[in-house]
Amino acid sequence: MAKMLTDVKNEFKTRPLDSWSRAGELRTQLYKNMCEAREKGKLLVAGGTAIPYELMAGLGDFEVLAGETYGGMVATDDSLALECFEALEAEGHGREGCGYYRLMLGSMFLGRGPWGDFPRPDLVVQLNACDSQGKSGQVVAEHFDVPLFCFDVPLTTFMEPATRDQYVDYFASQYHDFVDWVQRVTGRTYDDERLIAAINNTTRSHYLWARICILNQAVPAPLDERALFTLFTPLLLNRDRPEVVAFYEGLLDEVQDRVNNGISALGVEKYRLLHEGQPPWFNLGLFRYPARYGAVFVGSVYTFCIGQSPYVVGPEGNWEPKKPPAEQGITLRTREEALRFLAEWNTDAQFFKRILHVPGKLETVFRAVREWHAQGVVIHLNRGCPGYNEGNMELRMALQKEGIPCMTYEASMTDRRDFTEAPVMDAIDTFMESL
Amino acid sequence: MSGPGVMGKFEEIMKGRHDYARSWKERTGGRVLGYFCTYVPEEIVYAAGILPVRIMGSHEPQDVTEPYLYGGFCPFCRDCLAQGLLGRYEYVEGVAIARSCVHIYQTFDSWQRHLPVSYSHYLSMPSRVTIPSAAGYLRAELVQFQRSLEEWTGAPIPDESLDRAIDIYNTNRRLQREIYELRRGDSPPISGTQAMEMVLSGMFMDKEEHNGLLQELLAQLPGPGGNGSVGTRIMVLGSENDDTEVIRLIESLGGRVVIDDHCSGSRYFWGEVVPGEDRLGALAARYLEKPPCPQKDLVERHRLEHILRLAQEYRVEAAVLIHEKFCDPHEFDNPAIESMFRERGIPCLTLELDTTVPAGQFRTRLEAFLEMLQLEIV
Ligand code: SF4
Ligand code: SF4
Repeated sequence: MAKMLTDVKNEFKTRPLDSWSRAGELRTQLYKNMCEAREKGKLLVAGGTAIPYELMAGLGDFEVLAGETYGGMVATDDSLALECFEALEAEGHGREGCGYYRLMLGSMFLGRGPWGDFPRPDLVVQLNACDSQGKSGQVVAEHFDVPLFCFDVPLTTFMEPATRDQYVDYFASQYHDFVDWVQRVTGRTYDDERLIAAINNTTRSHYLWARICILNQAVPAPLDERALFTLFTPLLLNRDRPEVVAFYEGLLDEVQDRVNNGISALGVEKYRLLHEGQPPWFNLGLFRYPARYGAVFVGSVYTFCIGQSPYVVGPEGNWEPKKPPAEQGITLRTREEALRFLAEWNTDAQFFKRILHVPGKLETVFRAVREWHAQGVVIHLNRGCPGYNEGNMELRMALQKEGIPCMTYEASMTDRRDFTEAPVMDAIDTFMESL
Repeated sequence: MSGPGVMGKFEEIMKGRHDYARSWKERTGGRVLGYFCTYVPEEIVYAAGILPVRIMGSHEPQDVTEPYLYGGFCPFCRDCLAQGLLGRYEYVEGVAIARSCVHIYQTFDSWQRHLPVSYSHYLSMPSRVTIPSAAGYLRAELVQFQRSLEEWTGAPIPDESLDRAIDIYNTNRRLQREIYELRRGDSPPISGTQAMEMVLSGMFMDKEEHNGLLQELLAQLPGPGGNGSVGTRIMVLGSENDDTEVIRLIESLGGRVVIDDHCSGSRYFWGEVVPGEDRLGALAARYLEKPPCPQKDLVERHRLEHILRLAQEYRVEAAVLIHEKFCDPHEFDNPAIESMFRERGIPCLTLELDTTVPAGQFRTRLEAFLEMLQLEIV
């Protein structure tokens, strides 16, 4: 039985992450770029973190206003979040949809957000994996009367080769349609070299992220979930940029160094836990709470696979990061080749099939438990995400059946009104005591 | 109202859907496949000699789905799974779904994991139904669906069977459409409750038999002038709603439901297959082009155009939006629909439905709404 460590002694060395401040600076810069996009003559595209925005690069400079990161930021400011929810509800919207998008839409109706006025986008690009993404894109495009494009993302995890080809063709053809469309609606010409550079950077950023996450399999874990939540933001905001690639190169080196020297995330690691789902962004302290029992959250499928972070099954049966073109010895030369490569990448890496498709979710969580050496799983039943709850109860049942300790807690990633701290902490206490 | 015999039959089958399916099995020796979304191309199932039946709830409180489905999923999808867990669909040997919303997908997934079925199929229906590549993509999905059914039954589906199924389903759609059209008149010859029973019964029956009943009904009904009762002309629309009690309540309070936009109503049968040499291509086209649900209408707002056309053709005076609790796809559409109606002077009321709670929960709000309408009309 886990005992609360009243006098917590560090079992492992620990020290703050050098890259932490760089992550903060970079994040601030990227948000600033987004806010200033239009005055600097760049296109501003509103959408989500998972849209293939590398495809925008061929048009020249652009920035992305992504609902998930924007909503996550608003959620950290209680009074602004409440104002945004109320503004949205005043427009006749309910509380069912995605919590991130509800905050983004609320902020849009309110006309302001964390950095001043709500930025007016030039166009909206969305995709449809969960049911809130595409629908929210419609609302934004109509509010600003700007063009809208929506990608279709089929959700299937295990595919026969023929099915995979069908999916790759489907993605590739939509990417070609998008490139034609975006030239038409912006009146700009398209530069394939910039597209290729963006795809090279994007896939490299994801590759580096996957390698960093795999390093977290080490005992002791060099990072914890709380840190991963913060460190993934540049990946979501601007993974196609050289400065983001450079940041992850530096972070990878630092994390490798921590592993080599046995530097742990928190100094304690009696138990390794996985978390399933997004965090309640307004209460990230939750993720350090189990440390009083000597437990550390070593990650989640959410953080490991975020964006389009790709893994392939290696010769030992374990996940390995899928390599970007350069590491595979591939040189992308034409738009056709680049879009095909991206379509293959997104078919294989697809984040959504791991969270929104039950067979994919179960397989991935069990793999994560094994490969990240976790002794328990904490599942967030997230009132703010109709998507991520897909399969969560099945997951709980499957883990219990295999004797893997797990618990659920009910909260929301963005809406404090759906979160009551005391019962959640009580549940964690009970869970930890039962380990 | 004419034709009480046929209408009574629809109601009987709707209420006794399980008995119908059991006796169909006994009669034919065939298999029954349960499906969860009206984007499943039933024609292919029917052509395989299988009876497709839509899985629906019972509108009763239940406490059996909690271990399987998160309580924040819509009550309809939980109610559907409850029926399986309670053994009410024990005659269903296989299940299929076409991708629609995440909630109902989870119902399908849990069903095929925990209930004894020998076949399950997930059809990856496109969400962007208007893009050029959707047709080829869906056609390839239908090829796989057909193949999987053939493997299940151990018999190929010949083209003639597909042709026959397409013909029977098209006839069914045409007949239901004809009956719906009669409701455009001043005194619709069937009530909204009866119309819903007619459509729902078709989801559980062999369509050829359903066609027989529809023909019988058409022969008995008066023309569009009608001799039915009148009242405030209401359109009902929104999330899945097969709770006839809600419609009955509206009509008992002075409303006359003349048209709907529900997947348990007009959206189920609107739009025929245009037969062609490429049968699966023709089927793909129909399912891509049918009036969309919100999850299939992500850019153009074809759904709103369609709703408005119906409201105008059926001379709707007011609308009741029925919104299943926790249903996010419809939640996003509702403000746009409400404002479209408001701009055209069509009052509307939005009801948040928990399909497992008796419809009486809405009595007071509906009474107030209908009274207000009657005053306005006077
Ligand atoms: S999966 Fe959840 S968090 Fe992501 S966009 Fe959909 S509803 Fe929002
Ligand atoms: S009512 Fe809404 S949430 Fe429920 S199954 Fe239908 S579309 Fe999905």
